[in-house]
Amino acid sequence: MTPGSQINRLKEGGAIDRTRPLQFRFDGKPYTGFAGDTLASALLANGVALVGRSFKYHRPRGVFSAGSEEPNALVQLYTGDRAVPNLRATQVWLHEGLEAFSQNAWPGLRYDMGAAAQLVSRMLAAGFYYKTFMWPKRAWKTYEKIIRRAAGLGLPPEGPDGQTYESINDHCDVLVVGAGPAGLSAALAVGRTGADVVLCDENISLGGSLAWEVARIEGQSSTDWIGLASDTLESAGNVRILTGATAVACHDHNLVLLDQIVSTPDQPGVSRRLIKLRAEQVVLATGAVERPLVFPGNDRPGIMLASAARRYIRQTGVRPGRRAVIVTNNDSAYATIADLQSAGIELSVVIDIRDNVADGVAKLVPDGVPLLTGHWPMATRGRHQVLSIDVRPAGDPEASLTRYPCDLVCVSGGWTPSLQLYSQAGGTLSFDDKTTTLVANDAPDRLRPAGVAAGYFKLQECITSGHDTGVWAAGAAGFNPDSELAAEPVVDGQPVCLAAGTSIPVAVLLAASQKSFVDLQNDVTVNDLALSVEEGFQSIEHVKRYTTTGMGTDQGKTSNVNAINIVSELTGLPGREIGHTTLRPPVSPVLFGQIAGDAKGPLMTPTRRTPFHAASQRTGVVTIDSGDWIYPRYYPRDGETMEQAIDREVRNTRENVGIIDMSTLGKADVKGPGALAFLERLYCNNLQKLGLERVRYSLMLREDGIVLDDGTVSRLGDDHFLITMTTAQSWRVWLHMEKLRQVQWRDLDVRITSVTDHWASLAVAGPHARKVLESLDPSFDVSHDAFSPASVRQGVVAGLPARVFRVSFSGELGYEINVPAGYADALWDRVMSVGEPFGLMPYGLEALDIMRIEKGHISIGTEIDGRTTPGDLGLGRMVSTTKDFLGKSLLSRPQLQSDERGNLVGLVPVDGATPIPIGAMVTGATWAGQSQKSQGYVTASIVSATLVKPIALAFVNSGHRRHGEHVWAVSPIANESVEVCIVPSHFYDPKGDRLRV
Amino acid sequence: MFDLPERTPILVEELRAWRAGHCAASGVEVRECATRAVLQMEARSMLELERILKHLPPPNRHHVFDDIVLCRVGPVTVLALSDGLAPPELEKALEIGSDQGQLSLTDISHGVVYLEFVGAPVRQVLSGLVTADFRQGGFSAGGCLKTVLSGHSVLARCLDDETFEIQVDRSLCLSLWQRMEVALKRLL
Repeated sequence: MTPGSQINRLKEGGAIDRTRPLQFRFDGKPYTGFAGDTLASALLANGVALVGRSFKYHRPRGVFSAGSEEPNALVQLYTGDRAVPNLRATQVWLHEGLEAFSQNAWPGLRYDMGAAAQLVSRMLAAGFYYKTFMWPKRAWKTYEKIIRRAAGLGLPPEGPDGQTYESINDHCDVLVVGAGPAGLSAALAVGRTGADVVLCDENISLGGSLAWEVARIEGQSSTDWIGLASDTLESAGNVRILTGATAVACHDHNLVLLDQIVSTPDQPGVSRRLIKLRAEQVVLATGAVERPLVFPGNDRPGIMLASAARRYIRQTGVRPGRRAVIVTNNDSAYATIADLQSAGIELSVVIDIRDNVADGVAKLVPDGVPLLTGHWPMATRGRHQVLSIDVRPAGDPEASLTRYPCDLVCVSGGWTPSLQLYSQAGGTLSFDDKTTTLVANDAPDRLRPAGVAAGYFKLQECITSGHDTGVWAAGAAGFNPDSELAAEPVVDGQPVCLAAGTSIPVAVLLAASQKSFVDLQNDVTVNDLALSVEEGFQSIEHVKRYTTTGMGTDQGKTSNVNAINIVSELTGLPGREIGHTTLRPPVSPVLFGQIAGDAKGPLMTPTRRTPFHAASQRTGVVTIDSGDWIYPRYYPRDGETMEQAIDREVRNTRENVGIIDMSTLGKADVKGPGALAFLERLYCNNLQKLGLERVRYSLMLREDGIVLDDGTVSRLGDDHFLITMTTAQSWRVWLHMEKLRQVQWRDLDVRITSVTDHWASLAVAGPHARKVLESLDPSFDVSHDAFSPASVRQGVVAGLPARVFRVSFSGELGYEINVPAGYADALWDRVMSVGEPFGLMPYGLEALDIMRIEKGHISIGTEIDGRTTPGDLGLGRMVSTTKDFLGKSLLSRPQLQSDERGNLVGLVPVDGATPIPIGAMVTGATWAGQSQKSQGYVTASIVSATLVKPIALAFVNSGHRRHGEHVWAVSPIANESVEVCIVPSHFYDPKGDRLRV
Repeated sequence: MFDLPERTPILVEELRAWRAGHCAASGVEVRECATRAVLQMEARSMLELERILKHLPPPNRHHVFDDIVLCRVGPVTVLALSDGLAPPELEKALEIGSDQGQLSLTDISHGVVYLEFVGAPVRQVLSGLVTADFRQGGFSAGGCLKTVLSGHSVLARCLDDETFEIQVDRSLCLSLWQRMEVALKRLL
């Protein structure tokens, strides 16, 4: 059954299901294909030759290959939130209702305005953007917009991606990448040992090149052998076969990323999956990609790889043209002849640029068809499809051109082993002069190439190589390998691919009237490579960056080796000295959605909730993300705005009493005989005299003398301390401490245990804080004399086991009640209950921030910003001069001790009313549109609810000596300038009287 | 004046909804343990640890004896778990005796939550979410190891082929469940 629209569908043949016709659309036009088709084969079946436009010149392009190496046929699937751009039509499996669109063309594919770029192509040579758009300077913003619009290929989905993706982990003993002859042999060899094997292939069926090669293995046809191998593997129970799964990256320790197509986008559920597979051993049977030949006019629709033409004929029963020409420099393309004949495609001529062809090969050319050896294709004709090719004898520029009409040009420039994964894993590549391509050299541990990827170009060699590599992998993974050969010698097979070496001289290509394309996707021509070399960019890495060859979604699968060969000829250096560019992951594009998997929206990153989260929610909290934590921001009441709520919370805490969830502070138990010595080295202040049940505010420095973090150190026992870390820095401090403990200070017997999650911490602050604590029936005396500031008590509070610290960040009398986290709910309810008569209200992060600024307390990220020293923060006197500690040596550097450094000071507006812009520069004069020398910067600014005026904290050069001086807080971005007076940073209760009541 | 309340579990509503909605169809039952006593013990060296602690399992294994489970989560680190004993009783039952000074003991009972997943598909679901090797041969009954589960640091224990226990920081428990729930619903 061949629906009438499929004018190029053969009546029989191919591994498609002709009983399942599928309707699809391309650029809005309806077509029909069959199950088993790719979008590319279906379009070819329907006679669609023009499928895309090239990147730079918008040249018409057709399907060029039949696999992941496709540089031309990039399409977008669907629209709106389901849109997926830049998919290779050769790897889009046809399904009912598929909607595909061409890219990079406006208003349409046939008539594309962008094609006007061809008219000025002389001005658009490689690197043109480095040399143009320089004048006039002011126009750059306009140029930039145009360049940005022109850059890129497809468009991202509109709004959140509507498809579902999955990102999962997996493990296996042996991973075999590629299910061609070598891969199948390897999988059979390993599978027999009982090892856990994963066999993956980018195609939806097994067999690789055997699916379209004519061969007999073990007395069977290649398709029968594939079927038998497939049945054997599937029934083994220890072999997992993943089809439609492309290995896109190979990282350290054999972590291989697989991009698996799970379902078509029209089906519910997961559409694509990223599998992070960790394999004990890896066999890379990744095969080879046929190289194009570089000749003038080699990019028109209808020009495709010879192997691709064979695949379309044999795998999908598609006739990719009616009248064909073969252009080659090697024997493998001659196998195409039989397939063209079987499909009823007329062969006009075989052009072999080599001077001689072996008799056995020449005999494959049918009688009546000219075989032109020693001839070069010099031009092609045809706008939206190739119509003819012009040929002349090699080395005779005066010879007249002979024109051969055609609508299909099958090209073959040799074969390039697919070694991207091998290279990523650390395998080295070398240039082989015989095959003029890169081949595998030294393999890394636990990974081996097999088959064509290992340099075995004949089918028998491939199968033997696959088997041997499988035996090696099984043994290396700890399984007893079967040493007998899996497959008998090939009875009757064709060479899979053979050496190539001859190419058209670069000088001829440069002199030709038509462009000779090296990289089809990026429109990189031989002239571009020559220009690059001429301008001094001779390293292949530089050539790549200057010309963009090898970039793009195909990552140069068809162009890289040709580029090396051409640069070799241009520079006169042998190919092995040219080297190769880095073959980076991913080998083929991966959707961002797959990388994210389920980690999107609210599940994007792990989030931490405090033990009081549920209680806060019951109180109507508005939260804010603070690092990993979901933190209480403020607690609005009765229609209050945020500002009103925060203002109320500050005033209530200052006048009555408030509570705030402090559980996010990092907490660690430090224990052991060496605990005190460890802390003495860790913190810059003296802790030697810290008594039992005492607490000390402490500073931790980096090795360079800069403040890393601040917090408290509490002594709970002779060798037992509890330290706190700021919420945002706790992970960094944790790593810092573990490194010191495990690596640098191994002489100390100390253990550090995180107890951040074990303790729920509720700070009670305000004039009535002690009354609230007393009402909670503590098991210890909480009077000022018995429980003095900077002390800690352990006992029972509110019926709960508790540690209570008399510390304050708000500047009010304060206690931090810590109870085991499972009792947080009870503590919250009991504190709220007993606190009600004293006007107790919860307050959030915003109110706390205001109160700490009023008090002049420093905060991580604003004042402790990775640049400040203790002296800058006004805490220089904390630094011990009598002990050694981390950061001491470098803190003594003159630059860190300079009087000219920025010091933390307070700022108030001279007019007493104008708010000071956050982040403003401190300067000597008002903003007049001219740059000024900065004297510092504002770190925090509020309108104080308590003081009823704007205040700010700032670092000002030599600020400690400039109290009373008038300067300007200038914000060019906000176009604001405020005259301010430098004052001490403690605005509220500077002597701390409210703490000591 | 105040009594000592029960410890508050985290996933009361979430697991109730799971049992009512998807538990049967997915074949996965989920339980939260919020009352366990957990002591983290750390010695300066493996030799010290082996000398002081009886019933010491090899690394990445757990031993069950009496009412106590010992999990060897690192070369010198062991977790002692008990559902029947309070932390002080647990410490006593470990019979560490006068050598305790060589071993730091920290009560982290309230800092961690245990989620138990029971059902035939659990291994497969967890395998996809963790970075460690959860295949049958790689992680069997008696195994315990620290790993990363959907971005969350966890301690996983294999109780039997169909029962796995995940220890996660209390603050991350709900976040982890939300990711697990998405994965488990794929079984439907």
